[in-house]
Amino acid sequence: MGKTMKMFSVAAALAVSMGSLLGCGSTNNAQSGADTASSDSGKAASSGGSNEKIELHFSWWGSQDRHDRTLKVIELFEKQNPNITIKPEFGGWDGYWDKRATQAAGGNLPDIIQMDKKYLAEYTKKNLLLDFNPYVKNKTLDLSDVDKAYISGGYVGDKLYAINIGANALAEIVDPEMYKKADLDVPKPGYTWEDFVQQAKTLKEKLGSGVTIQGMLDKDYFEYYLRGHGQTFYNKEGTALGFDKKYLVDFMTMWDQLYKAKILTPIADVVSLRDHLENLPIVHQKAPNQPLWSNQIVALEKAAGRPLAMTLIPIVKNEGNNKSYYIKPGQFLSVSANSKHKDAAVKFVDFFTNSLEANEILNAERGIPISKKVRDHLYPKLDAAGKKMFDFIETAMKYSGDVPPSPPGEGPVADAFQRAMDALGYGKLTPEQAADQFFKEANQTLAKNKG
Amino acid sequence: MDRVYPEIQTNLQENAGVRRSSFLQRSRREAWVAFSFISPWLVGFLLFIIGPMLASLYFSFTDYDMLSAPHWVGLQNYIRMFTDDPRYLTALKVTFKFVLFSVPLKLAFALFVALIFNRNHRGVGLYRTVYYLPSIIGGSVAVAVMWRQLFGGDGAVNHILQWFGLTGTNWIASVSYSLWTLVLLVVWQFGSPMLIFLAGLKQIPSEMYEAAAVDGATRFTRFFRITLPLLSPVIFFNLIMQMVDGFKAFTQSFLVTQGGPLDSTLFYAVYLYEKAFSHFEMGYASAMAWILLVIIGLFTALIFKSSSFWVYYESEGGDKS
Repeated sequence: MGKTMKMFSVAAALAVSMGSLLGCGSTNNAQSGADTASSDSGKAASSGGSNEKIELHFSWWGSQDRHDRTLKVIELFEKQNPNITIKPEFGGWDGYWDKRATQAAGGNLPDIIQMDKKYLAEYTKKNLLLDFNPYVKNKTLDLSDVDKAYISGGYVGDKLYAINIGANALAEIVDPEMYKKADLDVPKPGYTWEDFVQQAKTLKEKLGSGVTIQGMLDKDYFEYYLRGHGQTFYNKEGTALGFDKKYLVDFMTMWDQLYKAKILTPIADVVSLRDHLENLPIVHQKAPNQPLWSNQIVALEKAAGRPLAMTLIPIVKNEGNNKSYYIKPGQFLSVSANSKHKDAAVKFVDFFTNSLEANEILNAERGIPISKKVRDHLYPKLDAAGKKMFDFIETAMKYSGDVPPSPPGEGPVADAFQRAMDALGYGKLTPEQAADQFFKEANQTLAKNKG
Repeated sequence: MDRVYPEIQTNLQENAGVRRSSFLQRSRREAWVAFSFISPWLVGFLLFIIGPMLASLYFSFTDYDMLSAPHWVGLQNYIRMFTDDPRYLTALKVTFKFVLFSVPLKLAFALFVALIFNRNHRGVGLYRTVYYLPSIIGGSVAVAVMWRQLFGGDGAVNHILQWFGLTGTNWIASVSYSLWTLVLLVVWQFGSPMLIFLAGLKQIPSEMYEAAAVDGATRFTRFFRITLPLLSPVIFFNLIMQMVDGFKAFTQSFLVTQGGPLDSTLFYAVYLYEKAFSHFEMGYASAMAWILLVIIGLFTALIFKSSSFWVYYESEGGDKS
């Protein structure tokens, strides 16, 4: 090879390697939408100066319906604030937190993050979220007509890290027609767990073999049950479980007996239909009930194609002041502590919470809006399912106590609970064994919160 | 001589000197050229493979949770894996079971189909492509959804069983059968090893078969005495590659069964992922990754060691038995 040829080919090789490295960088920036946002694009677009173009990143999870509505709200905000663009990042619940964890590790969480109670403690413990208190004080974030009950879930200590964007509570959704066939009325709020078991037996008897009852098997239902007995799920420091194991054994025994009597929907079906709202048994009239979070009534009724009734889940007999219920913030909005545009991000949170137009678009799909002004404005415009949801929360408020705190590690603890309940359903463990397994795993996870 | 051909003498001397130094220069220059040609790959290798591997080794000795800085904890992660984590042992059991069954089955099918395709019938090219397709569509969400449908309670497989008067169960959501649906999924994608076997088969000279046939050897004898031994290097290669893939399997379980039900399909990699991203225990997960490396290394070494007993390389000649 001649000298010049050699030098030329070396130069070409270097050019190719440089080009490919640079090329990789820029194509990442060009992608938008559902992909993980690259850290460069946010910083490159944001320069100094007050009326400079600001680009915010906003991530949320939800159904397609929620995505469509949220994108329209973003458009509305951008129209009213022409110097701000918002780059959305959305998908399902599955994988949402994995992506956030990776972004947190890289120091580039989105400016605005849809947050969940399960992870709030984890993120605040690592100082990843912004405290809203100064912004509430100077009215950038206007919470003047928000009831304390709606906002209390977003506090950790006395700092406000997350704004509730959809109030929720556990509900029992029933098919009144199927209940009538079994000569039963829709259960009135205030009925007990014993009543539920009795009704389950009657329904199964009268409705025949093609129908089974859906159980209330998640950690959240158990927490309501515990509260009614005057217990708390976690201890005060959040370093271990805070209740006597016998409550869990009793709860599990109740379900174990219903499984063994073949009254409950078989565990295999429960497992395969998890997170598949459109195919839940009640939709196909294979079950007369479905425990769900209240904000999901809209989507469920749509899938079922017929009107369903909403009532409270069972409470504990004579619970008195040990209120089972609490109004759960279904989702929050938080702002990243490392955001380069905190003011603009908080402005968007305020818009989301208080704008009448925006909330008309959102239509309470995430849950009840916390601002009274917004609720009153929306109510007359709602369809039947929406009104049901609003009325339901009003009723639930009467039975509600304080929002219980969720320490870091709630995610793994909820997983461990589900696995223990699944083991019960498959008949692999007795209630005592399942409770033991859960206690061991949960306490191991929570012990990490010590110090 | 100097008097008669002075130019030649001086020329020779000059050339000798120049040649010596330019040899060193040339080899250094050649090395530099070589490095610049592989620089794109080298940069990638260091940045994206060696770098993260070293980082992961470091993290395995910490309690890194990705949200805050890591703290050194020494061997705590490694000890906890084997003494205080029953789900880890479950993951090991499930993964070993999976590899033990899926790898031989997959290779057997691949070899069987390759033997069939080794004849040049008309249209064999089309069939080869068709049988290779499943491994191309690989670990995709679409395949996972389809598999869940096929083996679900109300799925196609159960409907077919009904024709024969049998009632099937929900295979995907069954603790005893879910792992086998995944084994089936992996075996169904035997296309890649099949093509490699095919290439190996084509290298066996047909004269051997003819000579054996003339000597009165049956099909079985020909298979076991000619095909298998001459194919053994290819079998060896496929065995190692498929075994390593088997230990690293992730997508099938993650997409179809999510490690369930009740951890009956909790592949090692799926548990690792859960620990790293759902439980914020990246340090522990890193330790798991390095243990997996050791396990795969051990098995690979074992197979290599055993190879002297059953792998025949034509170049080495002779019978080793």
